[in-house]
Amino acid sequence: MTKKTSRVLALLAGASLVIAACGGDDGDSSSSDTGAPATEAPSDGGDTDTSACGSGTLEGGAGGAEGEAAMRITIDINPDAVWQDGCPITVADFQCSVNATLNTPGSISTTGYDKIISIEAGASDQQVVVEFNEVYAPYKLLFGGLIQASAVEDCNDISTDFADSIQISGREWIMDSWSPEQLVFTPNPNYWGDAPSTERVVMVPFADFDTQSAAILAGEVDFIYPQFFAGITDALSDANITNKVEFGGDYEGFYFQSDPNRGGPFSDPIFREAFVKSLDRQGVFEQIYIPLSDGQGKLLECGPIVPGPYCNDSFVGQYDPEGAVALLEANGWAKDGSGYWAKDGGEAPTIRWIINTGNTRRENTQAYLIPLMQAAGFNVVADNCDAACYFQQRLPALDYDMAMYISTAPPDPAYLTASFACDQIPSDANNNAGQNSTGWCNEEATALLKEADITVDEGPRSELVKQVMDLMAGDYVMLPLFQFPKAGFWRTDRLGGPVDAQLNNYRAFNNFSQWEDVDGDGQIILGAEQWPECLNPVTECANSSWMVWTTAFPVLPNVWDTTNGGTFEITNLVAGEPTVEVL
Amino acid sequence: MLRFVLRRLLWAVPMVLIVTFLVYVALRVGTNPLASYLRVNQRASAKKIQQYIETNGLYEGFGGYLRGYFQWLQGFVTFDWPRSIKGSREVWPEFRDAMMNTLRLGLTATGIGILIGLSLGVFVALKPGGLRDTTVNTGAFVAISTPPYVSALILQLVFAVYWNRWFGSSLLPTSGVYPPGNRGFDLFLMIKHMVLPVTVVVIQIVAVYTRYMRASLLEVLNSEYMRTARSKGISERRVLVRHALRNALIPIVTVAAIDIGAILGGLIITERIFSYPGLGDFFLGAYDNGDFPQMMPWMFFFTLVVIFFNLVADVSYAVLDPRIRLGR
Amino acid sequence: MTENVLSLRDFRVTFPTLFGDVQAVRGVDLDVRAGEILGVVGESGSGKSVTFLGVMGLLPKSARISGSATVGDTELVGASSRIMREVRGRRVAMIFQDPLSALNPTHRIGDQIVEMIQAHNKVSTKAAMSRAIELLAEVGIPQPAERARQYPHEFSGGMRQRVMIAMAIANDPEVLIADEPTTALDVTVQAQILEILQRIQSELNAAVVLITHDLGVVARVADRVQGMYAGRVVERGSVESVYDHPSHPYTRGLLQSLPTVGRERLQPIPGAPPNMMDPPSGCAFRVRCPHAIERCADEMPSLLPVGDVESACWRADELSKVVGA
Repeated sequence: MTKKTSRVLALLAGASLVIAACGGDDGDSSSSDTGAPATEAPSDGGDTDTSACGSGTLEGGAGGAEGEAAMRITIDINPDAVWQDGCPITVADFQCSVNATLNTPGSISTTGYDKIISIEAGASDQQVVVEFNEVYAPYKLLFGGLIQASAVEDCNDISTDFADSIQISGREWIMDSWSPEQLVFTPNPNYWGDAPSTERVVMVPFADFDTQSAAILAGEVDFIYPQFFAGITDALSDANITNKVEFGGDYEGFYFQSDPNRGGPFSDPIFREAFVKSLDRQGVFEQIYIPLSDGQGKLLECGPIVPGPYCNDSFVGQYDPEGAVALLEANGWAKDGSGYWAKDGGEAPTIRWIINTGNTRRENTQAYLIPLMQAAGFNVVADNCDAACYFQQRLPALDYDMAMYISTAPPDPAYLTASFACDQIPSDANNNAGQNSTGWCNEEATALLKEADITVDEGPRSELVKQVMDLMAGDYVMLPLFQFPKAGFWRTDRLGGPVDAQLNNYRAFNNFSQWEDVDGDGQIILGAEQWPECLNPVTECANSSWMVWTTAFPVLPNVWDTTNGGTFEITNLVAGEPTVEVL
Repeated sequence: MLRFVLRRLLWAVPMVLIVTFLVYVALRVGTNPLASYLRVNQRASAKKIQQYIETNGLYEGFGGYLRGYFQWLQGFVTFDWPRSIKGSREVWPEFRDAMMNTLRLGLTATGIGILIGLSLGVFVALKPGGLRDTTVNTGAFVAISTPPYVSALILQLVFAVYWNRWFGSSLLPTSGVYPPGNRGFDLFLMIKHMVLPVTVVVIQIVAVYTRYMRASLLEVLNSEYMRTARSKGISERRVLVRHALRNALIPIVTVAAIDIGAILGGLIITERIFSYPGLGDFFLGAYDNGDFPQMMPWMFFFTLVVIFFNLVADVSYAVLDPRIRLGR
Repeated sequence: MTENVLSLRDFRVTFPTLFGDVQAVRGVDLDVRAGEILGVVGESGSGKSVTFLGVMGLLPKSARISGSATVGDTELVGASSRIMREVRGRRVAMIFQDPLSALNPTHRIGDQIVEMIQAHNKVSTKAAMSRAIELLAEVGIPQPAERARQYPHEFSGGMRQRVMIAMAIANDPEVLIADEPTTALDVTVQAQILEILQRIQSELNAAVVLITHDLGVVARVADRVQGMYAGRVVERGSVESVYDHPSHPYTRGLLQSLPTVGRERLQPIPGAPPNMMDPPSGCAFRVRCPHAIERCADEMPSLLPVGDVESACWRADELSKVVGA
């Protein structure tokens, strides 16, 4: 469970902090010499004396990108915004957060921040002026998960801070305690917005659905947010339990490894096109996914993205078996003795389809689809391995022909650049750390993606992305399948208020400060399906959606939050929408 | 006797060293700690990587393994443990808490389980072949063939889920060491939360030890020295306690000592079902990340437990059974 | 002569089983007098051991016992466990066949004897221990004080049987029942044990019941002999009379199967002991008996005097005249 969704988690973590996936330059290279040795810095930032709040700006500033300023963002911090200790949130905190993200050894992603030339105070210590060396459209993903400069010893290396507690807060809650048993939040007395309606929020871990369901049915927890599966609402049917099902950013698709430099059957675009045209997506959907969503879902037609402003339904009508046969025959392919397509009398290519063993849904898909594809003349064979091998070795090494996995689409489409641009194909040039695991290289699409990333204007930007989706559909590099439902379940005898309001958000159940403690036991208890192992908001610890949901979102302030509708909106950290100037 | 114990203890020391060294090598080879570190910390700087290698003694070659092992051991015994690879947390406090949870659960269950098991075993062995024997034997058979997750599920359904439905609140909690939000030590709540998981483990232990005790006691009861003891004209009570029970317990004490290690290791399923954060969860998390600094103490602990209880088994057998005495 | 210290009248033992009752002992009459050694002989399964285990109440609880067994004035059949406890070890003591399994392997030799003493005497453990050491010396165990601290596995077979004897005589019992005391031992050791038994018997003036399948042993030490077959006494009398004039074909058979100087070959009794769940009608031995007549199947012969012996055989008169067979 923990590994199979690692891509999802990586992307979600990105949503909280920076941008999905690890595009851009290696964060360590720019100024890692400033990274102090990992002394055991105390992390009790909450003890800062109120009368002696740190300086409003950081000595030495922040950022470090070279070049001419191409974009400037001016953020006016809400004058009421203070940390848990009453100290105002200032430019220094922005500077520290950016430096920590850029320079902390092991920082999971520096994307976007690596374009920042400088962060300086404007009219006051509460006006943040950020200059970028190029126009950066996904800027709303930046300046999330801010940390308090005075709470850490060295803003350039916070790898040993927040090891077992996040004592700072610029949100409704203060993390009271964290252990393998429970996570306790109490209201932040210095929060400048609406105070939470509950005295305490407790999160407790569960290993799997069975333990969660027993706990909520027994009334031990008030709310759970389990992975959706067919029949889950029946499993949790109880007079006092209600639920809300939404279709979020998680989607599954087929991917075809098409890197010409790596070879493989799909490096031949003719063969790839014929294969994809022979694949009955509707059949897979009816066989596998309709039962999964209790009949509520529909076939995903957008591409590696979910319905919204960037969706062009580019993949409608992809299934065309006659066209596939005609295409192959016109290009010198013919069926061999075993009934498989082979070119010019050569050997019929074998297509290695990888999934993680033990994933029933994917195994069922293989069992359903492989005979159909073989009958259509394609020698597809299952070539599976466990989750760690699949997601950490085979996929990053592009060691497969066909893959099937879930990804999460954050509200900003910038993640597409990291996953589908030519220069993101793992190679020596990017230390084999590129995230383009399909090996798809379409120069035109790459140019459009880069263009989109520097197009601040929403309308033109979505047109650019839609063009990329069309190109992707025309290149037959992936096939979208299904947008997964997500669901929250809660006990109506214990919990009230807008529990159902944010369940489709990337921030999940982040509005729990508005939930009401109906049973009056003084606390709201949330069951967590995964438990954060560590709390550092910039290192690999943050590489898990549950970690950011449960430990970062409730305490660390953002300039922009995502909404339930998949858009961005400013938070009360700022006085108004920041001004963006393209220079 | 003292010399025997001392000799066994002295033997245990090289034993521990050799076994833990083998475990160390197996972990080094099997999990490749450096690769796991790099996987978890994908953007670690060269300096950090070097630091990780040095603090964990990840040197290459046989000499490097040996040196690395002793460096690790020195750090281990001086509680200067290397930090976890994910989040750079201190390992000892988490390990200690998990260990306490597991020991509390495991030892309580073992104690209660063996006590009940032995009593039931005696109860049926004294009247073999009757209804009582059949009932208890069938019960033990059913209990042994019921996997812990099934009994756990049944208990959770009855005492928590359905109880809550019938009476408005559950009788016993299904998860955690304490109720959510509890702070500090509370014996009553702690016991309340232990009831179901302990019961699950106890059911298994009782079933096994009832059968052990029944078989062992029946064998003793049918032995000729029991007839001799009765022919002396001593009370039946004395015959049973001094002659039968004592002799029947000898093999069981040995089995029990060895069993404790297995029971502690086998708690992992129960701990997961009851969301009881013990060493099982600790190891699963560590293993998932390939966290060498977390896995080594776990391995070392269980090696120690196994060797220690084998030692206890040896010594107790020697103490209890004169035929084995003096390490022949 | 002296009075009977142990008397059995119509003593019966039956074991109920799933398939029917096993009639192990079917009406045994027997008297043991103080100061004599009574040999009880028979093949295995003849009921000789079961009889005395039944007398002592050492059979499984399922065993049904009837008839009468008295030690002095005390009736043992149906006696309370309190009475049985007083009799056991105090008035009647037992020595078993295999001293290794009959001694508790995890208790020290000394402690096992002390337990016997303290079961019937209110003495301190220390006093009981010095008495135990005396007893060990009495049965000829060298360095008894050290040996008392040892465990059974540290003793040889003969030494263990001496320990059993020491334990049995700890409370000066009136009757000593020795159940095949020498069967598990080497021939040379057998002789020593028998000597000790004889010596002890004469010192204590106790009655000794020597259960054995070995007529040689009986010939050596017993005063009287009693042959048993299929849960019944078939012949009894003084050792000399029975050996010289065996009047029952079974006793004759036993004697013939005995190795004797000058005899060419042994003559085993043909056939096997009967199934005691369904014993033959009349005389149980008739199916193996070379001299059986019709009457043997119809009527069960009872013990009747034939010369110096008593015999349960319809043709005892004829047979007793054929000396030596």
